[in-house]
Amino acid sequence: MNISKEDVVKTLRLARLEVPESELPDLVREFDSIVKYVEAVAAVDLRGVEPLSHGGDARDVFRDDVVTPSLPADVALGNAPDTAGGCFRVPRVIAEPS
Amino acid sequence: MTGPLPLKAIADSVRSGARTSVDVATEYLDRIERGAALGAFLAVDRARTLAEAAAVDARVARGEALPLAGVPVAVKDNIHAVGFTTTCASRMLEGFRPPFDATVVEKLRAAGAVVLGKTNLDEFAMGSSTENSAYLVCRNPWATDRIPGGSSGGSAAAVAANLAPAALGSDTGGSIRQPAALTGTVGLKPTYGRVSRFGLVAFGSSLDQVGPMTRRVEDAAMLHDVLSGHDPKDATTSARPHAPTAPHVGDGVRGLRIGLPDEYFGDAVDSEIRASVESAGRALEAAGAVLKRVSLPHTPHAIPTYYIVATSEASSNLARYDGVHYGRRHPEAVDIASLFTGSRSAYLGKEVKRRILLGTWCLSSGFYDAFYDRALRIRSLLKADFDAAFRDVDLVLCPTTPTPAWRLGEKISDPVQMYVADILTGACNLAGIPGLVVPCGTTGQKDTRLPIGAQLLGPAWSESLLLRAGAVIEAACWDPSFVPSFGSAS
Repeated sequence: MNISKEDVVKTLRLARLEVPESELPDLVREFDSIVKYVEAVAAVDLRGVEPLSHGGDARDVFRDDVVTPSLPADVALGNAPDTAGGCFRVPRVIAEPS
Repeated sequence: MTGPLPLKAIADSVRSGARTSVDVATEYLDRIERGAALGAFLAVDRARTLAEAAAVDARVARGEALPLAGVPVAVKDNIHAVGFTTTCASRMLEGFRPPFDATVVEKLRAAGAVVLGKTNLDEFAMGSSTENSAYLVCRNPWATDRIPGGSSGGSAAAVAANLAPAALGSDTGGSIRQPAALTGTVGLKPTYGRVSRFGLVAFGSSLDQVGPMTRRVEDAAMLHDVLSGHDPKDATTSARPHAPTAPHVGDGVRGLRIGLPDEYFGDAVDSEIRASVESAGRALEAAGAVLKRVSLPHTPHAIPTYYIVATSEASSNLARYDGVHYGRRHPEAVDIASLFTGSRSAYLGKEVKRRILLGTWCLSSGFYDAFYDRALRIRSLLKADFDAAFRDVDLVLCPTTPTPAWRLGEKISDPVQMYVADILTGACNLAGIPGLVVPCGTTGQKDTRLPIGAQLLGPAWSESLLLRAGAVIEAACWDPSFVPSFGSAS
């Protein structure tokens, strides 16, 4: 499979990433070589083989529905880039009514 | 005894009052200053560490039983330790101060260990050379123009140079074992679910495990016993009780069947490395083990599969860096799109972006079945390979890396070349089994000797057997008290 500039730009957008136009040709070339490398998985005969999402012995875990202590709000907000009134503050999401 | 002391001897000396925890911490903090040129540490806080050490001295004086009394431990900077920043070597988390200890750090501190500082790594643990650190170049103490491996390169360099008697690393596809092999140190990647991931910054959640990096096999066993066990804060930890491994490290390998997998001794592996690991095999044989050839036929597919699974999980895990809850926000963010895209693009590094890109691609509509789903099915085959081998043998012995430590800059411009460095370590994480690396020799280059690591793999929960076999290799092939002289920083 050959990776195009459009493939990379579309996938970057899905990942909420951008690179400067000047860096795109290198990224397209690198991504093309990476995809060609991992594409080797297409050659394996997988008839009758089930997917495995983890190698451990984990299973659904339940606990009693009781409240346990959690971080105080000021500590939980302590690393936030912007806060106001005990909340995370972000730029306006909804436009002013026109 | 000459050279760096085993952890048990350090703890004994503090418990007996021969030295204080403050004395021990001071000795290592001074060494870290002299070894600063190695770039092993991202954060050191002398006052904080000495205060922790003084608190341990007070607990010893009160008669508390502390298995790691006064043992300084360096912590990879993707693991939370209150009092220190956690940056993951990323600009994104510059200045991040964790509000809680990782469970592994909580356990170390409860056992009397002292956090010596935070060690350098590839950004978000993505890399095999530590060159993807956004902050500092990290150097191999055996040859300072070479990489220490990665992603736990700072922990490996610190232990190899005796700037720390022990360290924590994390291993998603070889990030403990590969740097251990390239620096002549011991590294254990435990069974998936043996050690809590709570407070380890997530990369590939079905693959990540925290483990010890030490000078000696007995030290790795001692730390592993402290770190292991069920944690209600990590639902993937096993409820299975942990049987202590340290008391059995010296039990030997008589009667054990040890497999040499053909696929791990191919032409892609440097001939000196193959020869050195084969001599480790002969040492096991001389101690009473039975060697046997085995086959792990799907090994050639391990690395493509690993990179699909790990980056898919990473693309989801790293979606949390959005400039809202923590991490940096782009100063010109004016709406949600520029908040997310601007912050992520400005503060995540190139390799992290490449991996998020690959993971997003593998999970995206139209490619999920051809990439992610196929990778999960190959994962079944890789696990089945190990299951079949472990019906025939108790453990597997193989090389850890195809080459010894390479020169800084040598592979950084070719991502695929860098990925291939994980070719002998990735399958272990995909299968969820434990792996131990023990130094077994050096290359014979005239100008510079470089360490070689033997890798032992075993079925789930076989850490005790791995450590027993590792101790035999260590006794026959390696001098753990040897510290390389790294230029002016002795």
